[in-house]
Amino acid sequence: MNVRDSAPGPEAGGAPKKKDHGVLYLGIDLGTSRTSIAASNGVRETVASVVGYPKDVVSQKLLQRETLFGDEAIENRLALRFYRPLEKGVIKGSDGKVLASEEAEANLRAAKDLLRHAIGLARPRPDELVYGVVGAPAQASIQNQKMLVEAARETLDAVMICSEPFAVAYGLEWLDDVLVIDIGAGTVDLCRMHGTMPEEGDQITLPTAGDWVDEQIEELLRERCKGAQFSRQMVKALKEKHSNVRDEGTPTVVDLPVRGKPTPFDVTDCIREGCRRIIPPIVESLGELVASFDPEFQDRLRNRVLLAGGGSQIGGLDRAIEESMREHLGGGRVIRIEEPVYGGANGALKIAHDMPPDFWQKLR
Amino acid sequence: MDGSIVARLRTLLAGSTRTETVRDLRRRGLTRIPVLGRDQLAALVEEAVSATLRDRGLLDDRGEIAAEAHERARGLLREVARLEVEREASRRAGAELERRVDELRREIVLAEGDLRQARARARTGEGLLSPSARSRVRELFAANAADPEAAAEARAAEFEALLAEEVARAIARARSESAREIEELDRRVGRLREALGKAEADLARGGNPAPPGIASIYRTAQGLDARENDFARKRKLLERIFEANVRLQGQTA
Repeated sequence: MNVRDSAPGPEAGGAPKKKDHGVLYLGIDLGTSRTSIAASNGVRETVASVVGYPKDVVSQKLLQRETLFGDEAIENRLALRFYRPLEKGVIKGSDGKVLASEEAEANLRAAKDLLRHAIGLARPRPDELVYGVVGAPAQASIQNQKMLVEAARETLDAVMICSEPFAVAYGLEWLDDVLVIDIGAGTVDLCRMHGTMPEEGDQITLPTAGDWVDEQIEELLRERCKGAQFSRQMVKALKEKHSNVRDEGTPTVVDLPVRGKPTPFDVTDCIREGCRRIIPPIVESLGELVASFDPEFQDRLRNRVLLAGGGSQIGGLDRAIEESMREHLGGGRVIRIEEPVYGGANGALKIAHDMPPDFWQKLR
Repeated sequence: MDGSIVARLRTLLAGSTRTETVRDLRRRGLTRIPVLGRDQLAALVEEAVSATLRDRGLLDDRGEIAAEAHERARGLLREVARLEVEREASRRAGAELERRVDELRREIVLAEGDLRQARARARTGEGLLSPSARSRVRELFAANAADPEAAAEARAAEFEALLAEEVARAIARARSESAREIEELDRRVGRLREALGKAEADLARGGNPAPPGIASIYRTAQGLDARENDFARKRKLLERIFEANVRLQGQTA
């Protein structure tokens, strides 16, 4: 990015310095599992997408806070009304799923609080205008996007929504003949970029994402680790620490309680198998996007696959997808982006920066 | 041995002893007598007192009491030091809050000044005529001065048309720019007032000041640089995102 008009230096002669710092741009990846933010003041932060409110006066006195976020909320979740306000990449209740109006309202409030918290993490100055671009799943419905706008408008001076995988590709300046796979907790978004704005046929959203992998691993652990007690949160933590699809590697032995007694279990196969189940739907969708593309450029497209999102951190996933592409699509090359957690936020920040000023003005 | 005990013993002995001469002693048949020095006597007295205190179980208590008293004294000193540090931190936090409140007040004054100027500019229509229109007006006047009779009507008509067109265009532009500037300044003043309110509340509560935030590297809105790679295509993509958002937010509003 070019700094065309930077902040003024201190004025001479002891005159009061005019603090006219102008515009703070934000790129926001409001994800099901994590919310990441990149800002034009150099701040980058990420927080688990969970919000908690003390259950009663006692817990409020103990926690000394009205709202807790991220890991702090997870640690104290037993004393909290605990919300994961996003599901499959969108605010719960905005995807047509019927929720009791109270629950829908509570989720929207939690999403707004989460967004406000994430924006606060960027430490904007009070006198700055804040313009943000929020990434949404590739096939988020109009209703989903409206809810995101509603949540963001309370905190931002102007907001735009854009497709998350598009933001990843734009941030890396890969705009031509690229397939982006963005693996989140709620959805896997696949997007075909061919120099223009991706249309409906260029994008596929799959539900077989990180949370789904957690379910698979949980199912396998129940089958194979008889008597072991564990929660979904424990499975998620295990996956985040040990996820891997490679055949080789050291065994993963963890202690799980059996009737309250920590007992060692080898969970290598459960984690590997659970993680591997994410591959077939991805490769099948890649096949669809390649097959419906101009035949002249299909080979180029197959060899320019970008792997992004938190789920791309599964060990060996890029090579495993390549192997499966070789088997089913006749070959392909997968490149894992350097910063999976911030790829979407960085791209959204670049879009926010590049957006002409009069466009922002019109959306205020 | 404690010198004060020896001195007190000496005083005590001086007051309660009698003196006998060597001659008197010889007369009484005493040629050798045992001698006990004052220091030895003091040591014996001290030993006797300590033995008695020990026997009555008082000596250990005295040591413990002294140790406890010392420990409490040390604790109190530590507490005093901690309170000093806390007082200094509170003083600093208070000073920082006061500084922040002053700074916000100054910023509000500056922003309100800008806002007044912007509103005044909007009212007066300052800078209505573009430089090209101004130079064209000057040319017309110069031509008229050189040859006042020649096609005066045509020049006047051209002048009027030029003036009307320029004024209309400039008014529209100035209004739009002023309205945007005023809106932006209004927002800034609003935000600064909000921050001032929070800082004043913190100051009244004696709490810690909220951090002032990190300034963006941009003073003004940026936009895609025309020198950027692939400018035309990126611009097109940004337009599409913008259009989709206008449609979306139109529905939301």
